[in-house]
Formats: sequence, C-alpha cells, structure tokens
Amino acid sequence: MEQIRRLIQKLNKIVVSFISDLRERKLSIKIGKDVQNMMKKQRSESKNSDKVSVIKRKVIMQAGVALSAVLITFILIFAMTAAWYTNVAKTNELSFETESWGFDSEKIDIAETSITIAPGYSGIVPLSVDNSEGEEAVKIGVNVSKAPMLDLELQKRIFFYVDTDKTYEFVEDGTESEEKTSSETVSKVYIGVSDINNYIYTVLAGQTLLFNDNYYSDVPLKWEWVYDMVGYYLIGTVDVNADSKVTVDEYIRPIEYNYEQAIFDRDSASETYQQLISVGGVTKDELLSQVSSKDGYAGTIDISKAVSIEVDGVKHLYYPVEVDSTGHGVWAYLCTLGEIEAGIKYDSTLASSTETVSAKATIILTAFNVATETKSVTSSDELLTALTAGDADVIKLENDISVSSPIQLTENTDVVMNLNGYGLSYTGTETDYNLIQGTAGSSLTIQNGTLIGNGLGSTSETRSSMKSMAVQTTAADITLSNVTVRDFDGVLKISDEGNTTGDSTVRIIGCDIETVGCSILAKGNGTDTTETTKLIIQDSIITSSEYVGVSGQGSAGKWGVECVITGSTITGKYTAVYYPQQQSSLMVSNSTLYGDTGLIVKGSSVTVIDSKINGTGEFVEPTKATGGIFSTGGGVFMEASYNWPATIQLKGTTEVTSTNGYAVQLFGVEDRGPGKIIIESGTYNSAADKASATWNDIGIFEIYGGTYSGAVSETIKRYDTEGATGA
Amino acid sequence: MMRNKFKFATGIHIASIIILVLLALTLICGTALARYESQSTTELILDVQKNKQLYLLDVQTNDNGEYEVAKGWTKITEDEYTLDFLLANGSGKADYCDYNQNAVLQLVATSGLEKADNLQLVLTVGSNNYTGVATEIEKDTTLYMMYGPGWIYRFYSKSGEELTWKLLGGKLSWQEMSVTATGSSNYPIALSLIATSMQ
Repeated sequence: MEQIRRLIQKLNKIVVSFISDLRERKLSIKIGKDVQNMMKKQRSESKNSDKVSVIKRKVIMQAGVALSAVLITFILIFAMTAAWYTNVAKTNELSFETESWGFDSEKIDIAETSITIAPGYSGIVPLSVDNSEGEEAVKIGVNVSKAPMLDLELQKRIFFYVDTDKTYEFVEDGTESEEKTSSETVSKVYIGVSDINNYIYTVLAGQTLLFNDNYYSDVPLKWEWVYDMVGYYLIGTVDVNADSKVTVDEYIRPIEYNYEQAIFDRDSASETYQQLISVGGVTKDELLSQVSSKDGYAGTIDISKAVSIEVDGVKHLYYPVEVDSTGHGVWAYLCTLGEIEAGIKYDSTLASSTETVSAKATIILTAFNVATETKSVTSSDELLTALTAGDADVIKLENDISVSSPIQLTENTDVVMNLNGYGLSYTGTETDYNLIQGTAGSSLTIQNGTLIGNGLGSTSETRSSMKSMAVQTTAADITLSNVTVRDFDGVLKISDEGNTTGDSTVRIIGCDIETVGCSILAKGNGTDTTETTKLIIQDSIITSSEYVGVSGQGSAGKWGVECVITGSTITGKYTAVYYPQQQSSLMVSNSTLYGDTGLIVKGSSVTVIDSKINGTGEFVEPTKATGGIFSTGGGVFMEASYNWPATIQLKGTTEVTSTNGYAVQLFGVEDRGPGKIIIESGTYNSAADKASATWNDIGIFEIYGGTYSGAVSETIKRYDTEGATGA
Repeated sequence: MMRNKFKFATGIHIASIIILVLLALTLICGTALARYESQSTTELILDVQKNKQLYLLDVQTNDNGEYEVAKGWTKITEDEYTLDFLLANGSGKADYCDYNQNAVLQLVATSGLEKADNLQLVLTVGSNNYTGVATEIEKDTTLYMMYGPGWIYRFYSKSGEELTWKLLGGKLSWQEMSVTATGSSNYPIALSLIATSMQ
C-alpha cells in the first residue's frame, strides 16, 4: 500500500508539473495574460502563498479527473471490444452478462467435414442456422477469413461468395440529397472478413437456414477456386513512399477473363513487358472499365492513377478502386503473364502432390436481432398506406382485410407482411389479375396467414393461362412463409424474362397451396443477366387440381432458373413438375411428386435424391416429338426433343412408381437434346407388363445401381452388373 | 483574476464530465448491442483434389482387362479418319475421380490446315452427331502460343450451348465417343483432342 501511495504521489507530481507547464505554454490565451503574469509573480514571490496552494489543489483535482477519465476510457474500450465479439464481456473487475434473447449460438452449425476443392470448381459451404423454435426472426451476418490459409497463393485463387446479385447504391461526395446518384449491380456478393464484404440472411421464426450439397434454403454461401488466377481485388496498402511496399489485408474477389484469348506484351524491352494487352479484342483498359462497372464499388477505375511497382524488371500495376490518402483501401490488380504461368504450375503441382494438401478458412456467423418497427393495420387503406410509406419493417394485420385492386410493390418496398393468422383477400371482379405485383428491387415476405383470390380466374378448359395469381414477380425478392393460398389460378408467376436489372429470388416455405391452374410458373431471363432466377420450395404442400404443380417454360429467353424442392409434396393433374427449359437446374430432395406422369423433363439438369415419384395416369407410348406437356403415365419421363441437352440423375433412396406405365423412360430424338438419364440407386416399380427402365436408344442411359420390379432395356449401359463394358 | 481561474477550472470539470457521460452512454449502447449478438466461428477445411480427372482411353481393354490410352486415328478412306475413345474419369477400376465431372471436348487443328473449310470434324455419341464449329486461333493469344496458327473446334447443342458430358464420380465411369475427320489438305494436319473438366 505504501508503494502504491508513493506511486500515486509521484504520478500526481508529474501530472501537476505537466499541467502547469501546459498552462503556461499552450493555454496562455485562454487563461489570460493577467492570470499568467499573476502565477509567475506568485511563484517567484512566494511558493508557500495561499493562492498558489489553491491553484495547486485545483490542478491536482483536474489531473485526478483527467487520469480517471483516461483509466475509465481504457476499461470501457477493453470491455466493449470484448463485448462486441463474445456476447459476454469480462474484465478483471468488471463483468457484463447478457440477457437471453431467444437465439442460441449452439444452433449455428458449420460443417466440420472437409470439402474437396479443385481449380475451376465451386461448391456450397454446408451450414445450418436453426431458428425453428425461435419466436422472432434473426439476422445472420456471414464473414469469411482466409487468414488461416497460410499459403498466400491459395488466398489469391480461392474465394467465397453468396450466389445472388445485389445492387449497391452510391451517393456522390458533396451531394446534399440522400437520393442515390449511381448504382452498380454485382452478380455475386463476395465475402471477406470486413464489414463491407459480408452478407446478411434473415431467418424467420420457425425456420432453418440450411445449405448442403443437395439443398439450400436461401441463396447459398459458396466457395470457388478460379480456373486461371489472372487478377483480383485486394484490401491493403500500396505505399509508393515505402519502397513501394504492398501490404495485403485480404484478397476479396477475383478478376476473371478468358486466358486462352489473352494477348500479353512479350517484348522484354518494353515498358509493359508481361502485362495484359487485350482479351478477345477488348483492351486492358476496357476490361478494367467493364470489371469496375460491376464490382459494387462506386466510380470507375482510373487507369491513369495506377501505381507501378517494379520487381525484377517487370512492372506490376495496382489500380486504386477505393483508396484513402494513406494508400490503404481496395485495389484491383491484373497478374502479369509470368504470374499466371507460375499460377498454372502451382495449381498443377498441388493437384499432383502425393501428400494431401489442405487449406483452412474461418467462417464467421454473427447472429443478431434488430429493432423492428411494426405497424398494425385493420383496413385495406391502412395496409396500402403502410406499404406506400415504407417506414415500417413489419406490417401486421389485426383482422381479415380485403383489397379490391392489386397491390403494387415499388423498388423501395422492403417489408414483412405478417398476416397474423388472418386472411388477405381479393374482392375485385376481374378474372385476370395479380393480388401482389413484385417489381424489380422490391422485397416482400408474407407470413402466417391466408391469401384468398376471388375465384374468378380461368375456366377449367384454359387452366394453363394462369390469369389470376396471388403473386407475380420480376427481379424481386419474395418469401411466402406459413401461408395458405386459395381460389387463385396459380400462386406464383416469376416473370424475369427480358429483365436486365436482376433476377427474382423466391422462397415458398411451409406453405399450403391449392390452385386450379399451374401453381408455380418460373420464367428466367436467359442471357439478360449472368445470375439465375432462384425458386426454393421447402416443407410445402402444393396441389394443382387441373394442371401442373411447378413448371418452367421452354420458350427462348425464359431459361436460367435454379429450382430447389425439399421436404414438400407436389401434386399436379398432368404432372407434379414440368421442366422443359434449357440451361437451368432442378433439385428434388426428400419430397413426393404425384401426377398422371410424376416428373416430365425436356431440358436442363435435374437431380432427384431420396424422393418418391408417382405416375398414376393412363399409359401412352410416346412415338414422336411433341410441344409442351406429353403425359405417358410414367414415373419419370424425359423427352429430349428440344434443341438443348437434358440430364436426369436419380439417386439415394429415391422410389419411382408408375401404376400403368414405365417407371423411368427416355424418349430421344435424333440430333436433338441430347438426353441423358443416370440412375445411381433407388427403387423403380413399373406396371406389371412394363419395363422399369426403358428408352428408344437415342441419347444416353446409364445405370449404376438400383432395384427394378420389371425389366431394364438391354441396350441401357449398366455399370452395376457383372461384365459391364463401355459399349 | 480568481474568477477567471475558477472559470477555467470549471471548464475542465465540465469537459471531463461530458467525456465521462459520453463514455457511459457509449458503454450502455455497446453492451446493449452486444447483448443481442452471438457469434459462431468454425474453420472450414478444404482438401485439394488429386489429379484424377479426365482420361481418353481405348474402347477395348487389353488382354489383362486393363484400359489403355486411346490408340490414335484410324484411316477409313483417303479423306476420312476416325478416332474411337472412351472419355473416362479414371484410368482403371481402382483409379478414378471421386467427384462428378462435366467434361468439355475440343479439338485443335494446326500445322497444315490452311482453312477451316478444308476439315470437318464430327463428334458421335450414341446415335447423335455433332459437327464441330471452328474458330480461328487469334495470333499472339495464349492459345496461339501453345499450339501455333490453326483452328479450335467446339461442339454445341442446336441451341448454342457448348456440350458437356457428365461423368459420375466415386466409381470408374466413361462415355464412348468417336470423332470423324473428313477433308483434304496439301500438308499433314496435327489434331489435338482436349478434354477439360468443368464445373
């Protein structure tokens, strides 16, 4: 204690001395010359005077206060830093314990199994966030740190992203208005460790965010290993004043172009030796401009501001994207020819290594709840006003509400409509309408209630026209959760065709849907965007009494759809699912499909795992190419008669049954398709007099396993039987 | 004079109090935010796939029942050659790729080929035929540096989608194919068949 007392006295002396000195030198203006003079005079005349004692006491008091403030500041900063990241902050003497808010981090699960990666490949990062018992929605922020990848070369070629497009809006400096002045849409949201490189999911109460190889319940988090490492964005410092040192915090996104078409300066005497000149006729400057316009950062890369760093006679150019005055920020970098060639060798060496080569990345999921502004509504006017105002996060119905005209969302709509167990019904008298119209950029979640149409849609003879719809969307983000839908022709029409601003993402979760026409129709936008339309159907019951449960469309420019169906039962009159379009995908897992023909495919890549598919209709033998739906009465029927490939892969414990026809059938057409069916495993039951697996010898049909109640066509290539050959 | 001093001292007190109050507010706000966050951090392990990707094998096994590399072109007529092969995901029953692959086939024709019209390449898979579409290799490109002047032939569906061939992983799987080259040239033509594993 004596030592502490002496230490405090010593400190006080130092502080007194410092403060006195400070007052004389720095604060003379504030104190005033008279005070200064007086103090000098007093000090020189008598050190023991009362006035000096008073000043001393004041100074000591001030110093004490200042010291206390500094100490408390350190304590607070330490405590808060810990609190930010751990949820429970503890210091030696101070403990802040948090209250439970209904979400347990134990319910966040990230796969502990390893993932196999290879150049040019990408895949889903398996994880789950279980909010099935939660009473409130929870936000999940995702960040990834590549710091555990000790080999920096891997950090340059392995990236993580959320597979969705996103529009960033920018306000230029000096603009007083808060309105956006420019925007950029990225086709993927790259994920890093910093706040500007994260993505936030919303997991509604009672739901689970789940990603794995076979299924994703929202736009998935993915990894990718770029095929050729030709450039990247980095966050770091390029400091020309410090021996041109480059310090990289993280590599955040790749720059990609077709390396085979690239032309490099190969003249060693040239200023631009080994630098990219052009790719497929596009100059380097144009390429950077194109990349910059879709990178999610404001502005365009200014080529003239590139920082050149010379290493072994080769100049390496770093292009500022968003950089502060110290040289720190986001930079774009195009690899030199030498680096790319070395990169290819690096990839090859890794892949041919006899040792297992592994890398690690840290996935950081932060769960947080946010304050929500809930507005209760009791009438259609209040509902429409709340939607228009846009100042509520949640609009909650307090009773049944009817609207007499369609609800049009705007690009600024971003709201949850909690039906709160009540019904939202349409009382307009027209036959052709959409209760809710989602426009590009809008985001709407409808939950916990019933959507009711006016029952005046198509006549039973024209059910495929889908006149009355609960929701139509173009490039919007729509979620129906725990919603019952009645008295419409269809529940959802995704009309992304022709739209260049983005793609729709639609989730149908825990819904009960009965329609007369096509329940869900998904039309993509082909090459209009690089991303795909996403349709996720989870734990739902969908029934179309007169037509098809879920359908794509084969017309030109309406492809580019990723559809995932899991844990659901889908019934259609003609077929449960009709998938005719090209360059799309369909994953059916843990689901049951019913229809005259269980599943009809005419294009794209379809995978069925652990599901039951039942065809109960009249048997009809296909004899020629058809347009549209042709029901055979089979379980799974592929008609590869269009000008694009179609593939079906059946695996797991899948059980396909046809009451009157074939369990699985491929009907190919010369020089079309080609169609390909792969059966890995499962059970295949056909009518007693029909084959379980058959084709017309056009296309590719391979069997690797499975159990068959009936015959299998002899010409099908079988890998599962003794003596199988490639013929 | 004393009043001035008092004002100065009071100012310091007020500033200190304001700082403390601000810090206290920040603390309250910080802990409030922290109270509603929880975080889960896990290391994801990424294993690099070994180099067992694509093989071009002969359609017949040898006397030991083993697969060998594709033997080469067979002369059918003076102007027609054919190459029969298996596009496979491994070199034998115990050596195969563990994951599914989508393979793209391309042929590069160089050296003696003076123009693309002189050579027609047809890929046959089952009963389906696909005619290769030639693109000239642009001078000075990386491809040019690898193969020299010539043409690269790619195969598309009728809708313009480059054809890929799915090979199931976890077991030896293959697709039997043949390429037929028809044409004439004043000089020998070098034809390289390239199989690339794509996502």
